[in-house]
Amino acid sequence: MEITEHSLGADLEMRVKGRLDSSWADPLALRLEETIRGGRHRIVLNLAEVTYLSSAGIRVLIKFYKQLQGIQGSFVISAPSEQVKTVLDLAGLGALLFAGTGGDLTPASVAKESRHFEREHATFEVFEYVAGASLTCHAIGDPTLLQSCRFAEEHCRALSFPENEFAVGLGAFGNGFADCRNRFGEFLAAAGAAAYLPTDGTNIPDYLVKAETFVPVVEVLYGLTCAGQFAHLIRFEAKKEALAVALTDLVEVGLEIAGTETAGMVLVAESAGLTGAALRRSPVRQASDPSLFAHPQIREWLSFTAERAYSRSLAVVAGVATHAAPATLAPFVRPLDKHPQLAGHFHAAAFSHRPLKKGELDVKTTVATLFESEVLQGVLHLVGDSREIVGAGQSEFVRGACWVGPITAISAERS
Amino acid sequence: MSEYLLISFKNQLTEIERLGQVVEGFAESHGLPPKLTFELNVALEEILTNVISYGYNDAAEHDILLRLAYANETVTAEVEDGGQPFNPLAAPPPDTNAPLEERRVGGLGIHLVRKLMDSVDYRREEEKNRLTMQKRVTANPSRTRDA
Repeated sequence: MEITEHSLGADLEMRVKGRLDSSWADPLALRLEETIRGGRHRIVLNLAEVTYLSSAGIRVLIKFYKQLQGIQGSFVISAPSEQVKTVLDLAGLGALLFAGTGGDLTPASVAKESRHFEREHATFEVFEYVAGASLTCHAIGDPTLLQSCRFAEEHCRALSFPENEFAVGLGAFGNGFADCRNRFGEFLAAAGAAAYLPTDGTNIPDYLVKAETFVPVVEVLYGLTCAGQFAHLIRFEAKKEALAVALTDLVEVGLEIAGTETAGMVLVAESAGLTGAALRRSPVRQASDPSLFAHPQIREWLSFTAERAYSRSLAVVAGVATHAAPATLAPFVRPLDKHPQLAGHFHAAAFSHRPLKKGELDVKTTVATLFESEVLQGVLHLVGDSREIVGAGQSEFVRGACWVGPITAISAERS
Repeated sequence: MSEYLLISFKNQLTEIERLGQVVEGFAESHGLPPKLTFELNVALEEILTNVISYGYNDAAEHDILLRLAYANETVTAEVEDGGQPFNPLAAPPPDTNAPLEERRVGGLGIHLVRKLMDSVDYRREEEKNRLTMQKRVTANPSRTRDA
């Protein structure tokens, strides 16, 4: 099979030549996925030279028609060969998929006013999300206990995370400290969903999503939680895919837009690679320890990503960044790479890739859709300082959405 | 089927390409029209893909037999497999009038087979699934002219 691409105004025409059978359906699907990932959301598939089409090929056509429709793009088939036309008509799909027969989709609704600007490697578009909104941050527990893995029952509390809160920290899903003691790990909560990486050896991330009367609850050892609304939505895109946008650059822009020294952020973005760490063992005090003073070094309990991981995923990142951490916040944040005055604490949940709709996005729908329809691949604490890991660099993103809220109040506990 | 071509396929999706070559070769040797050849090809791919993908519970290699015959202006194709009993004709037909968003992807293959062939018949015999399809050669312009 041969595929060539040509621009047709705003559309991209892909000319396919060959057989579209069950052995060639996957290569075409991969190519379409790459194209959409590359930011092309209006595709015209020219099938003049496709001599064969079976249901495996039709499945690919339906999949991408639905996917592009879901993100206000368009997917039509032009110049179908007689064989293609026969099969699609028999399947009752011709009228929907052929160009000029109703297959084209309605244009996106009128966009809300936004502000555009550029930086070295990326373009940004800023929307007012909830005018004048701000976040309240709560610093919970004592993160220094992690250094010696001394968390115990008295440090654990169950926190629920409704839609208007997000959080990062160490925690687990379960029923109290005793139930969770061997699996506490990094967690992230945002927009009514929560994910964590259990440290019980399974290494399979787990998640909970808000349902009608159910709100995710996490048994938390320590963490940062933020409640309230986001004031701004920042859409960004790297000018070149090879020069993706570093987490710290996004965080700097976020703080600038928030206009405060400390801000909370939730990011949903196509990852070009995440650099981070995850606990390998639950950092709780072991009753069987011969001496309470013979504590393991926490670094031995961490597994770092030796090189950037999840480079083809869609990541949900949540956290807090600051230019001047007040005393309450200071133990919870670490310096971020290259920026001595910039500190933060961010966790990421990596999902299988799906394209993001352009323009203004709702944080709840965007995050919920990911949890509901994509595969959660991992949860990790993002490390901003590349010196901690030789040569791994920092987390980078190709394009995405970042909801930002100024943090106007920080307290040590949550009521 | 008195005289037929018998080909054995393994239960691997890579065999689909060979299936195409087998059907083309068979069509050429009997002077079958391109349209019928294409339709036969699609129908057989649907059946074979189904058997390969869902027919076996184990990861072992299995043989799937294809018999192709041409007599009385009619092509007969029979696919025989020793996989778990499955009658594809028992599956409910897809709603081809439903909006695309509501379409199920399953059932489309067998729908195409029914539409493309004149008759499709399933039997379970001797622990084997046997699917027989027939298509009559009707519109072959070159033959009509020759006659």
